[in-house]
Amino acid sequence: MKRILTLWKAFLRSDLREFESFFWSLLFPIILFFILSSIFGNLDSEAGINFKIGVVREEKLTGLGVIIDEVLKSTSGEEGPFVIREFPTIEEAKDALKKGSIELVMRIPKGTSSKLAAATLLKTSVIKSELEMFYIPGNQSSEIAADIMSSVFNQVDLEIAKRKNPDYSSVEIVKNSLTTEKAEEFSYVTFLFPGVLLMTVLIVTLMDSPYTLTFSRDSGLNRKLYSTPISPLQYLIANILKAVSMNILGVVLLYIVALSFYPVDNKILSLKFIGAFFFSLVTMLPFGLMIASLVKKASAVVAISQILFQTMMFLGGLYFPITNAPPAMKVIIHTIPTTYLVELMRRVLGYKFSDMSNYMLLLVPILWATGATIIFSFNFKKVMAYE
Amino acid sequence: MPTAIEVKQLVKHYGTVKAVDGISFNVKIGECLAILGPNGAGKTTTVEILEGLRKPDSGNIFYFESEVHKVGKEIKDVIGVQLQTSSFMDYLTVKETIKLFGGLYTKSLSPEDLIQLVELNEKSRTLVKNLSGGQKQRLALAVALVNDPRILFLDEPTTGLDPQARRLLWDTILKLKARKKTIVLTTHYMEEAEQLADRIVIIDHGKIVASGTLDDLIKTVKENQFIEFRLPNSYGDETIFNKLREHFPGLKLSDDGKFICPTLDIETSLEKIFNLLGNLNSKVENIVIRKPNLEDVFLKLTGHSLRD
Repeated sequence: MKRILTLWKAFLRSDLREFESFFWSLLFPIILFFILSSIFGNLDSEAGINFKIGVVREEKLTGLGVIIDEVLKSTSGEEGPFVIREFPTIEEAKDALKKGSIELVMRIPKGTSSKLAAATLLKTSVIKSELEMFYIPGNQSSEIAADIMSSVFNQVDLEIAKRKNPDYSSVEIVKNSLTTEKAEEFSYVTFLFPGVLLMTVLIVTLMDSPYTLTFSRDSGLNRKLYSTPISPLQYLIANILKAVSMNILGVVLLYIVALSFYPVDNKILSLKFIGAFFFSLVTMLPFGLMIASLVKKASAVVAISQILFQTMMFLGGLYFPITNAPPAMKVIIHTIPTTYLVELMRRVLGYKFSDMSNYMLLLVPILWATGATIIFSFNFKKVMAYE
Repeated sequence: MPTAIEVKQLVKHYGTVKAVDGISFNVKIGECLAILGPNGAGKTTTVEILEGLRKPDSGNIFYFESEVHKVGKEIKDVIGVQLQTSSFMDYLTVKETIKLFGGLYTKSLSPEDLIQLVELNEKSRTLVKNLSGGQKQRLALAVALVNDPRILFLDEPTTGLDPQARRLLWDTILKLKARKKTIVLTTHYMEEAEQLADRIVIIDHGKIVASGTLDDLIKTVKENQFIEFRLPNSYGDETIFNKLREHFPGLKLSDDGKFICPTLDIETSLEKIFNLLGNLNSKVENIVIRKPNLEDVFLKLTGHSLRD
């Protein structure tokens, strides 16, 4: 055990000092998470805002009610942040909201004009005109649209009040949250997190681990180590421990950044999710050993690892759902283990992007890991390069 | 003197090539044995079998007078190995590298002492990737000594080093010899074997062709002197060589155009050479008279040079 720990410590120290290992294992996942979540997660809400609002008019606004029309007009078009879409019924508007084609629904109920007029004339807050808004909690765009629209109408109300009676309010905004099974939970950053997490696993298992083994073999480090009392198995264990440690370090950093700066669901802290991550790590580790078994030179390992890394990353749906892929691609998608591993982690977070059973999500990666382990075992002497 | 290592009829094949062909020798405790031979002679294979890095096809190995069927952890724990090309982790410092290897043995010496022994004091915090070739070889020696080994294997320790770095490493090995460390050294430099070894085993094509002390080996060359010379602006004229050879059957022409003439009577031979060359209208330059060395022994035994 002492020998394994000594070697593990040296491997880890060496990797942390080597810029390439440090960058790919620790920094790159954070950078990728930042880039993807900034582009697709609507984190930068200050720039390029264009919220689509569905308006349902249950009456034609007249008299003072025209003010509401004016407000909607002034906040839409080229100057305003909103794009207005008219819907004939509240149900159709809610459907569009659920499907994500609009961010907010505003319902102008019957009697709005008369209530507004009465409230203003009688200078009372007893009679109010109620404007209903529907939004999707957890959806950043929807929440922001609802907040902006509420503040706009509150401001309009205050202006009227200043002129008439400081104690009354004529318009009340009623905010309703609209919930659907999918829409309630969807957040791109939460969706993305398991993908980037699995990418850290791929970096260590597909890229780093087979390269380290073949490079040590090519450079003669193995040979030097085997002239000491350390056994090939101890050397392999130290190597695996180093890979696992590097991965855990990278993952811890990613967790810290994600939880500190992004609205990632706290479910990523659950034991079930962490278990799914470790399951991914354990089932992917033999994959790297299999590559080292089948490829002779470190330079060739780099090429093969890259091809597998890119395939598993993009066709595994790590960053985007892969639902509309052509049939030939679907064969690959359903063959590679990452499709199952990322779906497994996402299901823990409440997302479901395929009809595969939970049993399948475990079985396919286990089959891959078993096959890879068998191939590696047959080539153990060759991979570890000893006689 | 008790033996540290004894090898009997060691055989090793690589496919159809017989790399080691029935080698037998022994190493006494406290002595430095050099295995001398040209590249591809089977030196490295022999020591790698003794180091446990390769398995022999047949033969017997005895460590400290007990037969060892497999060179395993117990033996590896008490031997030190400097490989022909030692590779270390580039991003560890000299001191960290010595500490790492120290941690792989049951006992280990202090890294500071070893750094001092191999004269790398100023480089103890330097990353391995920033060391020169000579410094890396000295680090390799320090690593080979980290477990205070009972037997030290040095496989071509100075190959590829410049003369200054080679001399520095020899000095360190001589210090170890003075401490009565048992050393097995492979080399294809005769000067290295002459400088460092108590006994020499000469190996060629996987077989031992001679063994003994330097004096014993040199005595096998019956001619006690050699005349070496060159012809001006020539890398060795075949016609002149053939004419001279009629009178000096032992005459050799080296690859770099040097005539090497073994002789028992220096004065007569010199006179004869000058006369013959005068008759052929040729002059002599760079004439040297020297005593026989290991190169001559090797040449006599194998018919080819150590550098071939």
